[in-house]
Amino acid sequence: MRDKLRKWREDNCRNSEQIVDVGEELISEHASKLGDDIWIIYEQVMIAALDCSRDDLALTCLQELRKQFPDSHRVKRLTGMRLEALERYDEANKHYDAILQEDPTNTAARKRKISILRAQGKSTEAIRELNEYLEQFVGDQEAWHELSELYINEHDYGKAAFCLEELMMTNPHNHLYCEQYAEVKYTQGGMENLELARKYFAQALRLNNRNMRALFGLYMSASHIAASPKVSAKVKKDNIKYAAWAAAQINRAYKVRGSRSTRTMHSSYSAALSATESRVFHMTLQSPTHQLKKKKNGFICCILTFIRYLRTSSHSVNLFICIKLERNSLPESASLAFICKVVIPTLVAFTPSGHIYSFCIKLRL
Amino acid sequence: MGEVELSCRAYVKMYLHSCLFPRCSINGLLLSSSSAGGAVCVTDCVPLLHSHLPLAPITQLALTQVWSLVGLVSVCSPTPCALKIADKIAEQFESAVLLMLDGSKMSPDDRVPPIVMYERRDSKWVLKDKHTIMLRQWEETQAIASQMLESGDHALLVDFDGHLDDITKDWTNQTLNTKIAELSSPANGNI
Repeated sequence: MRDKLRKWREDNCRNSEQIVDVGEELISEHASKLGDDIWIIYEQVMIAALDCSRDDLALTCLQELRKQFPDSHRVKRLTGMRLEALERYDEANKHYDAILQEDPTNTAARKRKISILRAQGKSTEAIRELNEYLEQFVGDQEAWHELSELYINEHDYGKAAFCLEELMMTNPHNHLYCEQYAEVKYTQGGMENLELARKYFAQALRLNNRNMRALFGLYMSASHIAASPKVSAKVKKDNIKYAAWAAAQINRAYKVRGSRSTRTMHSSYSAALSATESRVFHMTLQSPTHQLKKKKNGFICCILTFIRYLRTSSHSVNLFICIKLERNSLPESASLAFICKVVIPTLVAFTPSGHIYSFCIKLRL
Repeated sequence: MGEVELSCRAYVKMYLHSCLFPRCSINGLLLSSSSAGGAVCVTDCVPLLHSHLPLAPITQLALTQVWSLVGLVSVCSPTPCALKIADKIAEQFESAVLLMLDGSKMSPDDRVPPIVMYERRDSKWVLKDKHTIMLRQWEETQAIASQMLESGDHALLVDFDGHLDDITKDWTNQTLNTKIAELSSPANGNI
């Protein structure tokens, strides 16, 4: 149980109900065995109890801590938090002011004061105070993140983006910041922002290719850019490619993880893609002689459609072609000529970066 | 505008969603199985997000995946972003409703449902007359909601945000729907 609490402490989890359950039992029954750990457990359980409105438990923990550490600022901060939980904001503020008088660099007290402003709904003041705080303590990531959230709630996306840029600079490998930045840019709208959004979604995916939000975001931003009438043909084409790639990845993710819920997007791609993934494609065509011309055209159309699918899938494809010509079809030599002169060159010309491994022609005459 | 009827399933899911994320503001979409004439019967609620509500992409995505959409749920006062989303829904469906769950009034002993509904009149969202909102069998609905909360079933609820974190989770909440149906069927024959 102790280890669970330690893990939750280290991971900064906010599973307050669980902490209260485990912590309460630990404190009431095993207090003597905990040694010096008990103080930090009291603190952890107290904060969790405040979160769950368990004032009784919070008070017990607080009293124990006060007895042990009478002059500690850390304990005073906890007293302030309890007052906040009881919505006695003025008293809590007085408490924090007292701490700051004794120790002006106490960041915890300043942050609690900002949280009070947020709880009271005074977002503009909270933003102002937080900005002042960040001028002094530029490296405080938690504060930057909090500020970005405040700006998002105020719909001030430009400034939220700035905060997230700060976070991305100091944490270049964090895919969540990239993805959030991309979402903010997407929400801001406009062609430039959509392109930036797409790039950052892609970056987030590079850092973590299982980030579904980034995948969906990439698909949506690319689709929006492609659908816009103001872009050049090349940009349109590129974005269609990106969107199609994203759609394919999404479909694959759903297939792999076996979710049965949402309908897949672009189900038309899934049929062709399953063929490419298994790398074998069977084309069976029956062409009775009297319908020769029609079928020939039909056959070419078939191949071209398939190739279009291949191009949009943008990964290299290896084709195994197996062509079965049924009975009553074209005379043998005509079929072979047709295949050699028409089919194979078409496929070679259009297959993006793959190889035609073999073809096997079964003639059943 | 017409009457709005809220089904047991819709209310319970809204309630459980807000209980699952007591520290965040949440939103969700209201669905109707059919819109017959003047009355709108809200049969289901799809919980959407519990983080970064004002950000566009995920909301847009969810809106494309849901059909027979008639309204929006939100837990907080009508923020500009909630109004914007509601406007979009209203473009598709005339009698769209915006439902606010009042967090401060949610308690197990409430005799009155803690919801405030807005409807669109002359391109503005105004409070709907309480008498045109119907909740079938309010006591049973409330009892089911409290029971599920106590038994911890709210942990089974998956919203769209949760689905994106782990796509094996089902955000149509079929298991939860079955549970609600089981609990409510002795009380009334249909949901």
